[in-house]
Amino acid sequence: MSTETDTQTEKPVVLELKNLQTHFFTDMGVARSVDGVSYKVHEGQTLGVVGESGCGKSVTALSIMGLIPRPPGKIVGGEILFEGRDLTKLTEAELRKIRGKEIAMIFQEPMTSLNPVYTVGDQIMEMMLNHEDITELEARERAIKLLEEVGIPSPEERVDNYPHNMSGGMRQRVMIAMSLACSPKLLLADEPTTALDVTIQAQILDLMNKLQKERNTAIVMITHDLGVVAETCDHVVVMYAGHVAEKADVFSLFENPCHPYTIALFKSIPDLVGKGGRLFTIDGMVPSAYNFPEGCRFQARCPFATEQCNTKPPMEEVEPEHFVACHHWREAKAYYAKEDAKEDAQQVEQEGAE
Amino acid sequence: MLTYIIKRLALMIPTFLAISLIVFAVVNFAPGNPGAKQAGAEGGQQANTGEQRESYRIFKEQFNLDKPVLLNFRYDLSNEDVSKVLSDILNENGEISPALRIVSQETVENWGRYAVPALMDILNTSDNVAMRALASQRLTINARKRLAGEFRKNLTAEQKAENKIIAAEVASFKGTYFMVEGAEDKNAISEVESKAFWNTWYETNKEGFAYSSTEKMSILFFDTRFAKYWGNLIRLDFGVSHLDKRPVLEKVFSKLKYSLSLAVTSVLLAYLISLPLGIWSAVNENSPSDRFVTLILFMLYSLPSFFVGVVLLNFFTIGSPVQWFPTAGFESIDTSEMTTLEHLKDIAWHLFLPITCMTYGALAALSRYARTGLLDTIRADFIRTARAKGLSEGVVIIKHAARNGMIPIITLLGTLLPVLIGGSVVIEVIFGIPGMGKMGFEAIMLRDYNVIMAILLIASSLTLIGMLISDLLLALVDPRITFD
Amino acid sequence: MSKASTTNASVQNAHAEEDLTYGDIVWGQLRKNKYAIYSLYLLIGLFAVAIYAPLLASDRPFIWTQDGVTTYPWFSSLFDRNYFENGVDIFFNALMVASLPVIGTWYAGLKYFQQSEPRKRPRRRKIQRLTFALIGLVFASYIALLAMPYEKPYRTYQEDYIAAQEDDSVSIEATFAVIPFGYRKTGFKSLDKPSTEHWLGVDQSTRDVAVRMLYGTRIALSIGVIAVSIYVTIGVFIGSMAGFFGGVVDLVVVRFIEIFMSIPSLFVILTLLAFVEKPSIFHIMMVIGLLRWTGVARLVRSEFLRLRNLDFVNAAIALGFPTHKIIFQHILPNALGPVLVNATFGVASAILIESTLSFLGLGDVSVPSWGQTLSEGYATSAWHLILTPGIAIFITVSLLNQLGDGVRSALDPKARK
Repeated sequence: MSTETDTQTEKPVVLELKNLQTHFFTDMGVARSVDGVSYKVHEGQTLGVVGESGCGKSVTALSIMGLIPRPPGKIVGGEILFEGRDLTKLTEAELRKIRGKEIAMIFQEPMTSLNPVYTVGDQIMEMMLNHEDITELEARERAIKLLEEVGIPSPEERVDNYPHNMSGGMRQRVMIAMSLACSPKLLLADEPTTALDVTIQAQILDLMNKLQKERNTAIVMITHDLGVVAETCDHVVVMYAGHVAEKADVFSLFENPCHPYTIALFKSIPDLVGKGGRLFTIDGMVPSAYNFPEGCRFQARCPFATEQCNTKPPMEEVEPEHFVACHHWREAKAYYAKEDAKEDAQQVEQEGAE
Repeated sequence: MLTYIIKRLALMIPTFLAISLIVFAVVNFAPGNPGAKQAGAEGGQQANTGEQRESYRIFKEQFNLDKPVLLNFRYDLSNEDVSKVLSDILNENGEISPALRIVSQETVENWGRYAVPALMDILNTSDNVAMRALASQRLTINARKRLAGEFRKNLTAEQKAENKIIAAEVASFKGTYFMVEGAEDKNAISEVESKAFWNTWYETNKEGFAYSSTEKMSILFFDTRFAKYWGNLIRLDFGVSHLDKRPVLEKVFSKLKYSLSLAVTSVLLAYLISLPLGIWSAVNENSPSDRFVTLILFMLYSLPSFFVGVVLLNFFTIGSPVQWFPTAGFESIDTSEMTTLEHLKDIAWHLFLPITCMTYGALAALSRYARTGLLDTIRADFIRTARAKGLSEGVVIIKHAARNGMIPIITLLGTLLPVLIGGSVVIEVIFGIPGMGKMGFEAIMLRDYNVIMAILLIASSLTLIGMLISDLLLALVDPRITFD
Repeated sequence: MSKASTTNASVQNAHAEEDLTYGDIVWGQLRKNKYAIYSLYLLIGLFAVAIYAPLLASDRPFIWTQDGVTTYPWFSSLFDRNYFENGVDIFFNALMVASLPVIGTWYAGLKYFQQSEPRKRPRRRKIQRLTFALIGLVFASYIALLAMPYEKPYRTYQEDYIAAQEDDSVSIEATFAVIPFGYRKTGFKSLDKPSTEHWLGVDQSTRDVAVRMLYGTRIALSIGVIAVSIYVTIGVFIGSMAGFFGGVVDLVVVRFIEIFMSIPSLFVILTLLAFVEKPSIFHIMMVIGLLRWTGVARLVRSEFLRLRNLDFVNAAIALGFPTHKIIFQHILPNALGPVLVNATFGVASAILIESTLSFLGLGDVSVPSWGQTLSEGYATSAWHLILTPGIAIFITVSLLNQLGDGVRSALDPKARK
């Protein structure tokens, strides 16, 4: 994770989504799961995509890979520019050459993401043998080395193990090894640590950071956990109901959240240090993907919503590289600033009294 | 792996013994007197001619039907027991029903040599001359020893010598009974002569009827149908068929190859067709052609096999409308002239319709399971991973999905085999294939008990072996299964 | 903040009204399956055919006027044990007579309860009690009917009628059913092809085929349902014992089941039946019931093994419920799903077994079984004797299989729509 804000914007863009729209056409109607999402990923950096379940973050990643199940799903608009090429315009055969070799993906459930009837080594080797012209022996050597890199002990023995012989954490490491086998430029990580214990989670995230530094891989880290974002990401995109609510580099976002949704997310994190009292919640529920409202999709739950919010809010630049899609972000910021000031004043009074 | 196989085979033995117990129970305790129908067929119910009676008696001896089923208390037969039964047969006061008389007749016949001491007693001491006469008549039969080797065909020299002695003794019994006055019988002699003969005979043979306690124990447990049955089983001796006196095992095994070729071919065909069909069906889910195929498979699944058999038989063989296949049989009559290839073609021509009948049902069931299994597998996470690796769709489906989807179908092999073996009965009967099923059916109709029991046991063994094979195949395909 | 709260309230209201039971959910899923529901309706139609068969085909005319005296022979023949020799026939006749009043009463009761009791569960319980009461009444009257004496002589109404048409001196007026034959009536031209007089032809024993098909429905359905009931009861009992108590009981039962499943059941059924002198359909039902309980027992056992360790069982034990109550009232209703699927397919399978047995000549010769007609078809190669029963069996089995498939999908939580 680089701390130099200046050089970040100079790194070349590996992936750029321009107004991507992916819809699902089912018996129950059209689900507009991704409806105009744009973001950029820079070489060697991590972009976090944050949001609740159902906000479209996974669908975005699957769209990039071209893995949307084709009967109900379809990319209906926008561009996915990978190193200059628009992935939405490529044929299936061309996409297959990119999958695994240039862009790799790891998934949430390590317990079920590996094929139970083939050995771990077989599956890693398959990746390499598919994309590169090497012999099986070479592939096996590289597989063992990869297992070592991801921190699996005794890799020469483990390479012949079956997935059911390994724990969840180890399987996720195998997934990471498999995805990095062909040294892709971009790695899409769809909630890679959600299904793991907290301690293992930390190990996996450290591993990913280390590998990123070594190989200069760009990572899109999809998660709902702001803690993970803080640990690993350079830039962050906050999504809600198929739209981008806010995007910024990680420091700006954490210090200066502007979108009411983002602010509410941060406020929802229980504070271990401060006073007791009720936990902050966001009223209401995420609307069903078949029934997204027109305009801003957060309006049903937003305390600052007005008539104006029926039109889609444009992306406004708050500070350099920090964008918000909200009509009333200034009011929101002002309101919460006042609330915080009041609380601080109360606290000072209390402390004075004691 | 080898130890696993050996362990399974060892475990099969108690299962097999238990099955043999059930088979024994079914055949012997089923309603209807075993041998009653047979007696009816051989006309031995009433005390008809001596010859018919004799052949019925021999039939009973052959199959140990004259012995009690479980425990044999006959070493203890008392004078009163025997007298009671004899007087029932005589029916002097006319109150005994014919049915009871027949039962009594059977009873005294079944007692065999165990009744001899009591019979001697009655012969010598009874006041009733009719009783004495009857006792003497019974003695000529009851005193006979059983032939060694129990009616098998290949006897050792010893057994043959023994039989010669027994036969000589039996011959000596001829005409040693007497009748009541007024009854005409050329062979009868006078009472005095009869008594003299028998008393001398009894003197020489008396020790044979005094049983020591160990002998009594062994009679109690081992001279029973049950014990004889198991004793034979352990020696893999399934007895002889009463139809043609051939050893049952030989008879059944000669037919086994027909049934097995039918069953194995059907299973192989069913699997070979259903797997690709299931894969194709899952990949093209809900397309019009898939829906059509699913409908056809569903209809096939619901068609009763004997209906299809009869329809095929009448449509394709009899001549109206077409005669493409022969009406019956496994192969043509004169196959000795043919080369192996021609022979095989001949068999295939004969077996085409029956194999179709046996296969389509299994095919329909397996394809449905293959389809659902594969549909579930395709939705699995690791398939998504495989696609994300950039593998072509074909490799994903065949290499990754199919191997996992196959697993539930292989477990079906274990349940498929008993269905096929049972179903073969109908198909073989319809198409006239001389296989095990047809033989079993005929044996059931003709009450050939040894054959029935043998076929039940062999069919069960085949099922057990089939289950073992399916477990082994499963372990081969799925590495998650280990041998413990 | 106002918009948010209204959404919340409406959501809560919707939940209160719903309150679906598990049975409601499963039934709802089944209803969405077109094919399964049509199969269910068609099966009910088949039952109706079985019940109302005498209306369509009977030897006895509905009204018989001879010499000015009017009698109603059809009605008196319904419970005449001399005419309908089989208990099954009498049962279906009883159902036929009782059907309208019973259904009427039940429907009226339904409407009444819907008015008087708005709350769902008490209303359902009352309807349940009414249903059981009516079913009990039907069975009681059936048993009473069986005990009634019977002495009616056998008259040849049809011949007399036809003869009377010729003969002017005798005046007879009669109204017959659509097919004026009973299923035992012989004397027609053997192997006659289908015609206007004999809609499906005549079989080898000079009996009308259409009537035998109609009455054969009764045989097929009753064997299916009763055999399945027998083996489901046995299987559920044994399976639940094994699954609940585990240990030695379980071990013994599992070995037992393994042994039973290794013996090809068709052979054993053939053997057992062949030894009975004159197998009646009750023997067939018993034999099928005694041999096929193993499948159900295995299902119930595995369900019990799974459910036994769930917390609600521990709670019930902690609350001190007696064991039999826990097994049968708490665990069993959860385990019955797969059993229902198995039972539906089992009815189809029992019908197939019975047809096979009749085909091989081991069935009950005194009842008009479909398999029997097929065996005559096999012997004589007469197409109308082959196709008619075959198609009848095919249709019945298809409907049952389709229903079974539907029930299986309805019970699958992953396939919820």
